[in-house]
Amino acid sequence: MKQVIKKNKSLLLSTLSILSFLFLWELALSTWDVSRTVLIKPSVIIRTCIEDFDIISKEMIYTITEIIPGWIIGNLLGFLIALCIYRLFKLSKVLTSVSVLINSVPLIALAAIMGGIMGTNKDEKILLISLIIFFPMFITTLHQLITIDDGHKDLLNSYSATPNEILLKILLPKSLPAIVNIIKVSIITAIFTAITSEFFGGYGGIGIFILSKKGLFNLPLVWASIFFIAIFGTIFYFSVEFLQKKLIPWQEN
Amino acid sequence: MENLKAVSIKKLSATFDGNGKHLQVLNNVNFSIKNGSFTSIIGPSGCGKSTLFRLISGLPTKDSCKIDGKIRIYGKKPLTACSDKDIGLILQTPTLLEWRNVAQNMKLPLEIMGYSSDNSNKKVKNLLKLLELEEFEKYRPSELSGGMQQKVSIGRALAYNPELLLMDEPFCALDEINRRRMNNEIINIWEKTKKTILFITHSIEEAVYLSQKVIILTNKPSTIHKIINIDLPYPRSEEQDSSKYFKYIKEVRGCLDEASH
Repeated sequence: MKQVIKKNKSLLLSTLSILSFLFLWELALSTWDVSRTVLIKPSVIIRTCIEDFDIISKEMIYTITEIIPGWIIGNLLGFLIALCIYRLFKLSKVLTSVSVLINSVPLIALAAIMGGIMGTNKDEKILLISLIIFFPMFITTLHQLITIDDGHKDLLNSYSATPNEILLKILLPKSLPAIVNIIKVSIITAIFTAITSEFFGGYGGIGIFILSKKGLFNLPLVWASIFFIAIFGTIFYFSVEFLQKKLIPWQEN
Repeated sequence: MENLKAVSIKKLSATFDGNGKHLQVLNNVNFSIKNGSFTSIIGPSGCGKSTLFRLISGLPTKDSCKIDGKIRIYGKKPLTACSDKDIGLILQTPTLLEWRNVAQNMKLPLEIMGYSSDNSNKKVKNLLKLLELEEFEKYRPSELSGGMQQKVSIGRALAYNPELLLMDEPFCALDEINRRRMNNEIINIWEKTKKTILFITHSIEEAVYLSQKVIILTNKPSTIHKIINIDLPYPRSEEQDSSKYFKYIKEVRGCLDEASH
């Protein structure tokens, strides 16, 4: 019972802090005269969100249909290819140095560049998102698979376990927390990549919508779109986090 | 099985060679262990106890390790003994799988060795009873104390009923109180299961308290300094204050001092 209150307490606190943030924002703009091209009141934004719900959500759904397939394909490929490489080759030393190299490439910058290079239709955007998401997943999985506790290794050796048994009984369950974490973090990367690449052109989507409305100085619509993206990202993120808690109960303590 | 020595080691030497370094770890080690006995190996730290442990248990050593001599576990080579399920390992850390509960952890070797699910459930149930862990069946390792975790790892080693239990400083991470409790537990388990136990330790008291025979190793390159028979009845909690007990402690300590030079 106490824990339930505690959980709700943190939820309550975060809701309160968001509300007070919006309130202070509103208050500041009513007190000081700020140019409408710089910042607008949250009340105006929320009203636009409601009034233009149909238009914005149509664009948002277009982008979501890029984000989710890209997110799934990228993570799945990263995981599977890492698994294959682990099972087919024994090259832990080489892979760690390669992974450091790839990890230090700023993926967000890469997304911007590749968004410009690659085409503008939906499939190509999905491909781009998958590609950006692929690397962190690939590296994390591989890293997790090639690091094993010495004690566990000795133990399974003494049971005469086969490599596949070691993989199934030790390595995969052990890697699960890190992998789910990457899946969670990659949501943000996927959203960012989708929208950035839409800035470079496309046949629809919230990124293009924002760009065109900004050109028309329709700031409420721009801000409303940003709110939509933020809400989508939050819901997406927390639903994966919910799954994470169900999937990895031993991490709770 | 009865007449065979549980462990027999003849003229065992081990040398690490590589990177221009030449390090002899073990030099002409000879000893044997009777079936059903409790033997401790004690030596200065870094003397090659762990290498000896790995060699006996058939675990891979570094590629640069050259080995001479003969190790037999019930007349078999360590690797064969391993695949015949003769050896149960208990390591310094409990190495339990954090995503499995106590019962599932004990089931791990049975799953790998291809026992049927019914059979292994039955075995684990009996083990939980033997170790008095029944109420902790569903606990995760992180919810147990260090001593309890090590007890679960002993249960895991006993699951497939090996004849020989090899323990590498299993209680070295425990505090004094827990360590004493676990020492009594291990004697209890030994008396109930009649297993052969080879116990590696760096604690003089633990060696004397637990074993029938204490093997004292010298500094590198390790060879056997002396083997002392501890002729005291079990349970030894009642013997602890006897002059005989102190005499043994003193003797082992004396030998260890000589061996460290």
